[in-house]
Amino acid sequence: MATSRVVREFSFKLNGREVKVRAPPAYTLLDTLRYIIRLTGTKDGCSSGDCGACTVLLDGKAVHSCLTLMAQVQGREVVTVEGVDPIIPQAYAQEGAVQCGYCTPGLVMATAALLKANPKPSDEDIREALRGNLCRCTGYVKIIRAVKMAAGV
Amino acid sequence: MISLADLDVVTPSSLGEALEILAERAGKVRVLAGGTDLIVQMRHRMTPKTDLLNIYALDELRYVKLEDGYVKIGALTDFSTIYSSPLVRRAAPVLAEAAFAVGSVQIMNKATLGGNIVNASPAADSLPPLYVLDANLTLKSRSSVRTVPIDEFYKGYKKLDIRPDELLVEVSFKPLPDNYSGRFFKHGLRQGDAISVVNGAVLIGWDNETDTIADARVALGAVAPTVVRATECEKMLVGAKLDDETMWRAAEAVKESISPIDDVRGSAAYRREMCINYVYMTLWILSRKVKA
Amino acid sequence: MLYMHVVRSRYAHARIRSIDVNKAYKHGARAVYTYDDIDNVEIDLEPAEGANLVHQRVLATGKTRYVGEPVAVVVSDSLTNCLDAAEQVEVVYDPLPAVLDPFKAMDPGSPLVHEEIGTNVYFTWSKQVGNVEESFSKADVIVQTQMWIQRVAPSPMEPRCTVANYNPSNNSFTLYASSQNPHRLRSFVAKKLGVSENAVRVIAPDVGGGFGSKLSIYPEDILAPMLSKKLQKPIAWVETRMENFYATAHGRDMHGKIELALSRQGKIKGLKAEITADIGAYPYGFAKAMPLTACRMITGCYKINNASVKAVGVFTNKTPIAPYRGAGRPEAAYFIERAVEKAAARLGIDPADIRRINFIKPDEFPYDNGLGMVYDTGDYGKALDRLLTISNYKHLREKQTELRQKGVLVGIGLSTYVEVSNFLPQPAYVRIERDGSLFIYSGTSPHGQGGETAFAQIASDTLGIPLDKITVAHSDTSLGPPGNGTAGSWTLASGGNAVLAACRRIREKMMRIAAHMLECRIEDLEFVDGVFRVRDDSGRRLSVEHIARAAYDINGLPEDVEPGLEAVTHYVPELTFPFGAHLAIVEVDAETGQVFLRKVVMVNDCGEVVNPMLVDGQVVGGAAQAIGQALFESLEYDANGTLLTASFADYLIPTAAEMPDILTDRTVTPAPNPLGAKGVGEASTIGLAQAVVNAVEDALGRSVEKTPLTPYMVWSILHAFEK
Repeated sequence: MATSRVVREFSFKLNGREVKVRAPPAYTLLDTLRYIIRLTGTKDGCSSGDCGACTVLLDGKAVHSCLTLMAQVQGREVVTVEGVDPIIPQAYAQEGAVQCGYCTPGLVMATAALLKANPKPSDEDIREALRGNLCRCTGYVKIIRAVKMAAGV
Repeated sequence: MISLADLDVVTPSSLGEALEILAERAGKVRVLAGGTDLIVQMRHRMTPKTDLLNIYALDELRYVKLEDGYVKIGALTDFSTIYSSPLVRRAAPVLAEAAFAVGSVQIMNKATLGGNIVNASPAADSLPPLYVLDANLTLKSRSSVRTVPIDEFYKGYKKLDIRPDELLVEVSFKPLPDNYSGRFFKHGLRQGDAISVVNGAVLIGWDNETDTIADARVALGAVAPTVVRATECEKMLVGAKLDDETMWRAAEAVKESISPIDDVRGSAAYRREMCINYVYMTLWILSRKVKA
Repeated sequence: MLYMHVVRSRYAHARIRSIDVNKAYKHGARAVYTYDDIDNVEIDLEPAEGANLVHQRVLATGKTRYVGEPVAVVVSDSLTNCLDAAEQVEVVYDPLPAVLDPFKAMDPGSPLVHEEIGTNVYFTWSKQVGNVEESFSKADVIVQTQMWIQRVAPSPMEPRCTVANYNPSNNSFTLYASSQNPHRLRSFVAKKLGVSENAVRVIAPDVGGGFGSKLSIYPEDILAPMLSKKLQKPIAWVETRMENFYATAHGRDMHGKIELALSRQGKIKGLKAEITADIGAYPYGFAKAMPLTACRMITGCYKINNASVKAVGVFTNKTPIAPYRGAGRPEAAYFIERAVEKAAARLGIDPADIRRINFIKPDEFPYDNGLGMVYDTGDYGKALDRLLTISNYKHLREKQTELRQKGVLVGIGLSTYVEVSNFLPQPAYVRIERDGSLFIYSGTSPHGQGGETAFAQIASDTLGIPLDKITVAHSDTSLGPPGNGTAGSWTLASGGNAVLAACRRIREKMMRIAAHMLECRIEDLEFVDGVFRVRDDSGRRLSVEHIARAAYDINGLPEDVEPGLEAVTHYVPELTFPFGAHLAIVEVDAETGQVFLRKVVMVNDCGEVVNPMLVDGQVVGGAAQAIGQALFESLEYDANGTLLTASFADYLIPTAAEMPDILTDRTVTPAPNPLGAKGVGEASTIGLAQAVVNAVEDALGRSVEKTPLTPYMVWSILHAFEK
């Protein structure tokens, strides 16, 4: 059994640029971002799709990068926190919605996805959109305000 | 936790190619759709680690359409699409409700209807609606096509009527007529994303002339090794008026159809009562809808 | 860079019969170590006096005592190879019966977690004040309660991780660690690896949450540098989330039997408390100290002259317990506030009134509660008044009566808490640079609380230097004197006071230099808006930048003044006693047992406030954890001691959807320290959980003994009475 890895080349768009990356096809997008491409903004909180810290946009939709294999990324568009509209993390910082910061990239990405689909969300909309993102530090109140600030509501 | 990085992943570029590969490597390869269940299970050794057949790129299996009088949903359609589909909302709102309950936005965007069905958790949120919709599953192999009604698909806990060389490609059901009203319910331990303690779907077909129930379909999940139709409950509803007494008696009757277990989320007795209570509450809500 | 992954015990209690590592080598392991392949040193457990001392080694030797205990360690060139190879390490165990209940653990004949001490009892302790038996025999009413504050997992979003780098040229180590107290980590690592402290540098970069769980020194903290030296390569270790549930310390897990003796009017005449603490398999830091703190704070805000407290700590085959946001004070507040609320219900007195009757009065401070605590300042009535005003309490009770008549199960719960904080000293080093900018080093280790901002504000206020010219550094042991990291609500109250003291010292020196340069006496100078000027001749003035430049120029300085503009202080704090009053409103669905937490109102008094936004962040963030403790979080074990809830799918921490309406306010009762600060990091986890539980008890009209109040738990309570 294998310590030898199958490695393939995957082409996809990353934060607006075409990239080619060599990785095992069953390597996660999360590990590829962090260990191969060295974009460490995306975080690993649980590796099982329960915490949202690893959220990226795949073809514009928020998904868990820990549950996305490189074979599923081929030919698609990925946006990470390094490539998101800076107005969102700025709003988070300004509203005091960042404490330890570990969950923040995932929340920022979930926010980006929400605002794309719903530019003027209500509190209820925001809670629903962010229900898959766990934060242990802030208690979420300032996060909801930050989303509204980024949305200009 | 183990690593999956040494797995080989084959990515066919068409359904035909996928079926060829399945035929050749049946039993030695697992189908990867969204991966939101499979990857977690393999990582935590809940299912054996095998090479993967990645069908995630097969857009030909992503559709929601009305054709030949049936709503047809491609197996790779994700739950966000199902939730926001105007066709599903019109023709089978109970399925749209369940799609939202499947999980967080991130899960809804990646998890697929086909994956949810084949993963076969008795607590899968998409299943009770498919049961009350009398949905049919289309299974294709290199050399065959067949259709299986959903309530014949599950032979036992995680035992499916699907051959190793077959792929679930489509789910279809008749759109609900105007005199039908349905609702999905889910009892979880928190408001956010949570595994169901009990879930279910209730569908009532109303006879407008006699003001009675013409058709009743009740499907319950997380209370037996597979999703079950609460047939005794349904019998009590058909032909009756949707009054309080009927609703209670029918709700109580779900006991006959379920065999819940004790686990961290609750005891069997609790699940039983929640089933009854939720069916009652759902019937009550539907009775208000019908009256309006 | 090499990676390390730990092979962990699958059994709660077992002898290790054999370990075969051969297959692991065939699956990508570069090296595999077991207990006799390394210098298997002991972890420094709590050095508690009067306790039965036990031992844990870095890798389990002969026996494992909790699921998750390190048994072997695999090193490889990638994390994925590590995971694969670790799977192939074959450990053969002889399982032993697991001890999972602290009460059963004290039965004679119970299996022993540590045979060498002949018992499962870690410590016992008791204290009395006044004449308790008399107070009970004379009481009109005795209220007896039993409750369990359940074991919880601190669950920082970043699991533990570390990178260790050995430098052979000078036998030194650099550790990057997700630690709340890097200096303490440095001391332990140096000691265990047999080098001096100055040969170890620990850097804790942005730490992704800790809540106390990253204070302890764990086996992995020793293994990583040890293996880095053995293999002459940097070693990285990253914990998986499941490992975090098993192998990172848990919090709480205390049972309380509380009895109150009261007069019919509600005056508490006496209190008896018996606390049983489930320590887990090994006593990590504060394992005895926390139950003792709970005992010492059990009288809460009340004047109780007769009290007896007893505590026993018991070993079980579970993950070790260590501090978790509050560390003994949530338990104390929970026990007394639940007992008092039950007493109110029993006597038919409003829960706010019964508290008022018993409060320590503002003129009774400093207040010695006879159990080992002297409360510095407090005004509990004021906090309660503020709470009742802003929550419109009278109206709430009226509304409750209305809703109850309609059959709605609505409950209101209160909690007035006092807690103790500011335990440990902190250094600060502050330096004004040649160009007038400012460098601050603190011995604290804020990891999201915002201490850096507060320090900068304090320095800016004191020295007149604008915020954008201030840098704050911490958590790098090479940058300054040893500190005590961040925990215990002490970052501002201790660390901030250290910064203040250092800044004041620098300002004094600047005064002397300014007086010299302006050729006047120090008494003639004033410091206003960042400028030193002669009082009646304000044209003669010097800015901070000017003085800074001069401070580095030996030609411009007075003879008795050394060049430079810096100060180092070691601030030794006095304990302070933050307090507050919290209220929760719930509705319970009787059909499903679901608790809907509608609103939470919190008034906290943390003394003088430096930055309200940071205070709010702590109060609301802590509230989420208190809500989790009350309603959602549960570490469930099966009969073998395996965790059934070892993922975020099963262990439910609050999401944004769980959070109620929150209203916060404060009163200000300064602490007797220069900043007047009391600390607020743990306020909510100490004050709020019992308000929520009291509310549910109020809604149900039935006694609640266990948390979390899941729908199943609430339903069970309702149905127990229907039999």
